[in-house]
Amino acid sequence: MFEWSEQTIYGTVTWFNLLSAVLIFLGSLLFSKLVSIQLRRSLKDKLSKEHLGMLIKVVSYGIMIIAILWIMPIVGLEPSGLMVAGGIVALAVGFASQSIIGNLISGLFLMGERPVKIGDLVEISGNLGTVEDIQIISTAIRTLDGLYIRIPNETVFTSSITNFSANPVRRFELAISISYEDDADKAIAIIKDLAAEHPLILVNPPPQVFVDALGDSSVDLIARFWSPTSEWYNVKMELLWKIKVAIEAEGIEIPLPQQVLRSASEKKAKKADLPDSIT
Amino acid sequence: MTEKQDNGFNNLETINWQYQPDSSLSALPWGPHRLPVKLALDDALSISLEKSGTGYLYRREDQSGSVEKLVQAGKGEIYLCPVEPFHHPARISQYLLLKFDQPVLLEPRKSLKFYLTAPLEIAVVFTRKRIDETVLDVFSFLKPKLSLYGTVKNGLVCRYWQSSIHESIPHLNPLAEGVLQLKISNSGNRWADVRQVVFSAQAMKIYYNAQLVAMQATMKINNELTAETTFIDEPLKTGMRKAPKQFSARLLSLPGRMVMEEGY
Repeated sequence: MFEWSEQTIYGTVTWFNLLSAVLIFLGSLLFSKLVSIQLRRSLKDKLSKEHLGMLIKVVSYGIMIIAILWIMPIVGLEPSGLMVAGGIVALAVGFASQSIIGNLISGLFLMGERPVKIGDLVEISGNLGTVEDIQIISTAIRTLDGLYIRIPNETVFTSSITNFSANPVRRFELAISISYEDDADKAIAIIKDLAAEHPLILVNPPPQVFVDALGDSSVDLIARFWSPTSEWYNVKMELLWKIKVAIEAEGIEIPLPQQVLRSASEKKAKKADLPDSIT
Repeated sequence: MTEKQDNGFNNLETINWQYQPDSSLSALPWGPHRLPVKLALDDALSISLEKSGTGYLYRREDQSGSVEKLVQAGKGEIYLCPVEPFHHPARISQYLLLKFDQPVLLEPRKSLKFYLTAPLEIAVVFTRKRIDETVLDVFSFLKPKLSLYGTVKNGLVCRYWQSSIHESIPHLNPLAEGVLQLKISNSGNRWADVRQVVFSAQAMKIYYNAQLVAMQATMKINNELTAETTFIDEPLKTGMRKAPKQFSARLLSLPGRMVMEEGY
């Protein structure tokens, strides 16, 4: 009944072999689809969308590569023979694709480690910007001035990464100088009041305002505030000017750099004024 | 106290509402209000919808400035309702942290019920013959503050509010603050020193009537560090209406029950 299936098409390959190959290919396609759906269902809460997408691609392509290697001898193609025949070519391709493989493996490690995710503000090898896309070979960031930078994953993996969005809140610091004649406690109270009024400065961790240094021309204050990570830069830009206006409105001076010069004759004159017992 | 004035020239009905702590008769101007209308609320804020072309001009004025919107719609009404206090500042916090004025010490296996105050925001809803509704604006009489609950690494940014502890329902401006009846149960084996409570925004169940905005919540203390909080979906007094939720789908995906893992 199925004698036709024993008929050879070419070489030793029969219709049965060809049908088996087609069925294995379609079965593998279906299996890879089912695995993808199952992975998406089970890992959607555990992995980010982009990482899950990458993992599904790697698994699907892996299943299809295994299926093709399985099919090849059935349809009369020996993969080992191909590998020997293409050995030199493979070596050349291997050298050429060294960096690609490096980037691919780095991409897989980045998926596992997850030091950055899409939307994070990061600095990677000197490039500051927002992560736009994380692919298996490269990571794309958009710099703050709108430039698109594609960074190979090997570079991302081997360089130090500063992720400004990793924590829900961050601290920023403002330096304010007042003159020696002014009351530092009053200035501190004004700055703390401004912080208490601002909706985006956190109550806890509490703001810190203190005298940091007695400078050449001024008493130097430091104000440290915590703010939501998404908002800190806007708050920082807004607050420094508000502090300047508020402390000046209370009669506190922000001094210019100054030096007090005393001449030698002035010193002599001062000495001459002192009583004998002291000189 | 609520006063109505009708300006015959443009049919603009003006409603003045003043909060009076001693009066239980000052019905809140929730509405619905026929348009055009102007609501002057507690001398601090006014909202109006006046005829403008074929639609209306919505205007809100308070000490911080004014907000204007053109509403292109036919006949309709507006009403006010209390909503969860997470619109100002927008899209930052999904949790409410209530800090107690004084700590509550609770012995093991005991429970305690008392009243707190909670911040509110008020939504202005435009409704078209009850067919559909849209929120025109959300405002608040209070200055919002934020705080971190937990660590800098894994903490939660919360809407912050400091509240006194009351044994009975306190007198409040109901357009600014709501009453929260909290039942704390200490199911642990040690004394609990409770200084704050954190709730998920998604869990808030707000009920209101002509005099009061109120919520009920529970806090179950599991051990020295963790507690579970949630809101009870029941009115504090009979006849109170449930406020509609004003949430994006993003917030609705949050769990209603909040597990406080970083202490209380």
